[in-house]
Amino acid sequence: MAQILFSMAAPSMKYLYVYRNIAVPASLVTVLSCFEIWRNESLLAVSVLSWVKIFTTALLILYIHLFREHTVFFFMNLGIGRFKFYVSMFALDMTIFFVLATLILVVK
Amino acid sequence: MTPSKNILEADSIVVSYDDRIILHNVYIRVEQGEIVGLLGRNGCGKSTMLKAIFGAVAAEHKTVRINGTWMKDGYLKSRITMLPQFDMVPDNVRLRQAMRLLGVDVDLIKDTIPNVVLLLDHSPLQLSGGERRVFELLLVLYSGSQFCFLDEPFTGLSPVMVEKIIAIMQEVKKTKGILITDHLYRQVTSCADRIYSFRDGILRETKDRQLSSLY
Repeated sequence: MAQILFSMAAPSMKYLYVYRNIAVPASLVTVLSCFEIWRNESLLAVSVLSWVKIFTTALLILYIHLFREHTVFFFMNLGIGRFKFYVSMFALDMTIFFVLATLILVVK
Repeated sequence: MTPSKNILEADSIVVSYDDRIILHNVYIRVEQGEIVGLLGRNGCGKSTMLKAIFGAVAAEHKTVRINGTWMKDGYLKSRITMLPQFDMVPDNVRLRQAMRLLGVDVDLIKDTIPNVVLLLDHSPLQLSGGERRVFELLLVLYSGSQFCFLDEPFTGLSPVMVEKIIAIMQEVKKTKGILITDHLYRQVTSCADRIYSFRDGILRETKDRQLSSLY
């Protein structure tokens, strides 16, 4: 059963490795942004911090594109193209941020 | 009934940078069971051609077919795997993870690089430059793809290791087609079943394996 579940999850697991390229700095920005949302839960703060998050993630992806482009080859060998590589990194990071921000707003 | 061979055909490849045409209407064919060598001078477009077929470089025009089926890019569905000239495995991916992602068994690699067994849970940074090159080369060769593109695979390898790799390639070619380009032309011509030579932007198959006619 576990083996079947692992084989079903394996294709999407590849995208977690894609996200690892920016995981540490992106998570740091997410935690700091969420902390600010926790402290200051106005709609304006959420809006501004969302834009900060979008901007910093775009910068991190630009850094990967300019200085770590060779890693794209590894993921292309896994069947993940350049477009999917960058888009999945961005989408996953934004999803984590918006889920956490929503949870904070709901809990508070 | 004998199983049919996988056949890769790429034609009408046109690539240009700015106004300089690098590849002009190039055609190449690689079959399962053969090693195809690609030779030519520096900057003639060998790597660009591999990347264009693989999908890492945008071509103005290209047609890639595997077993007669048109493909937008070679990397899709992992039909082709490619070893680039530089380090490929990201530093933050452990050796064990890299092998698992590409579906390569550790037993296949440990005979060639015994160190790998000790460093399975470490970054590729722990390997020496040559070991890392061999590791990545074996990942590409033993992955589940139908074709392998090797761009200067012998860079940084000792002569003994080059011989070992050639022996492995001869074994691997039974199940896949291999396209190789390297400046060690003696090694390439000795292991290749067919040779293509780039000259003046034109790619042509050649049976003459003399240095003067290849470059």
